[in-house]
Amino acid sequence: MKTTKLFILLLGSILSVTSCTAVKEFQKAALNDEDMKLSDSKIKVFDTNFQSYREGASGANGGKSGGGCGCN
Amino acid sequence: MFCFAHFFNKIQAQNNINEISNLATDTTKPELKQIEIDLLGSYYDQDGNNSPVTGGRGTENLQDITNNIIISIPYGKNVFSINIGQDNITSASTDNIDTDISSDSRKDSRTHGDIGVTRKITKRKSYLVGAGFSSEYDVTSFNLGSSYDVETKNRNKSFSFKGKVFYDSYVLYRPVELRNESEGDNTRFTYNFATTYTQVLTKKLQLALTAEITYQKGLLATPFHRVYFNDGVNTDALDEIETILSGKTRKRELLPDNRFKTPVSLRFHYYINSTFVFRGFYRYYFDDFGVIGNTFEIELPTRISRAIVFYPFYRYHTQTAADYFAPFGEHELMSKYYTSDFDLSDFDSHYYGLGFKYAPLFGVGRNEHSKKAMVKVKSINLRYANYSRSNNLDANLFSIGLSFTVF
Repeated sequence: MKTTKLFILLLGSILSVTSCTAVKEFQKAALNDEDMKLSDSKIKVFDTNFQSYREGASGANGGKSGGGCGCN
Repeated sequence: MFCFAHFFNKIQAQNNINEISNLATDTTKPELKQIEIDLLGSYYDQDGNNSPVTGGRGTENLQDITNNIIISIPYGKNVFSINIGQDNITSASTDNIDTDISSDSRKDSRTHGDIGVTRKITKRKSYLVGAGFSSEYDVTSFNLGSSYDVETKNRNKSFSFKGKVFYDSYVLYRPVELRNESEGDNTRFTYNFATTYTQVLTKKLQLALTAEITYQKGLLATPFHRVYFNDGVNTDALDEIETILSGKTRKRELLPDNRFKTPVSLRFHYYINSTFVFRGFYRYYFDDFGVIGNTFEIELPTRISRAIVFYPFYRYHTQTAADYFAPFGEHELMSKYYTSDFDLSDFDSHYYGLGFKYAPLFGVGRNEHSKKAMVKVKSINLRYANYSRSNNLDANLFSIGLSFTVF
């Protein structure tokens, strides 16, 4: 529960501090780098699929979270 | 001084060219112009000594060879996607569903396929609809899914909403000595809803927050998992097969028929410089089985040249045990629900390795089949990972990916 509160506090702080920042399109050279994408690469999603079978916790990472397999 | 100013102006001019170039190829929400084909393959090898098939004690040796092909085809405002794959599994553990060595239960094959179409409504809004299936020896599954994505006008924020429903139907293969029991429910529904919020924080920093809810109803236990009870019969000196043949009290795994899972995650990506990118991930997870998980992951893409990138990564995961878990022979006879599946036990895990990508600007090879069609190998990916758990499960994984474009 302590971790949850810390997580919410951290997230709230980040969003409140930064919500006014506006980065223009021509300033997004670094953000448009392929490795800056806010999702995992296809090979990584493929590679980490086994974790949804081998661990009780899953989801919120673009991968499986139950259904269609014998995963937990 | 003049030389310095000239040099500075030259760098500034180059930076402007780079920025304009990146703007022209803005990848925040790319519009696919070419057919993309990804071929993926992996080899997974694990070993351990806590198999749930033999009640939480016995070999977990397993190998899995997986192949996958993903095709994305642009057509007007739509992008059609097809994903087809197959897993070929050899498991010494499932071989112990019966007492015959190397019987049919030793091998399994899973085939799966998904199709979907993403349609761009406006420049900043799109939706996806899709359907899929999977089939293996004892499970047939169908799914339907949809998602909706929207970006703000300045493209510094985006929202994504995703929903998916699975229907799984099981053939109830049970341990050989428990096949005279009633079968019970053999279906499972899974309802999954996820929402993601992304935010650009600075010119080099952005994050994504994802909240997900999954509700499952139906058969959640695995029919061929044994659970041995604390009945005073000592089987310490016996191996897996001798224990199956012994008089020790055992039942099929039994779990509640519904489960709520709630993971929440934060991604945090920072562009350090043209060589390094920092990718951070944290997830907090809880469910009504009593599992609480914390997962931390970092990846440091390291660009050696324009074409070569290395991906060192490390992931730490820790979780508490499900309320219904106990190791071999420790469940009380009066327990309502019981499992000895160590995937639902209390453990820490470490996952680390190295990825490699070779992606030259003009592709690895170009073959001109006609004046109109051309095939290009866009990138080659290799990845090695080791996974180890504090309860002695250890796994190694090798993956390869080839990405082609046809235009």
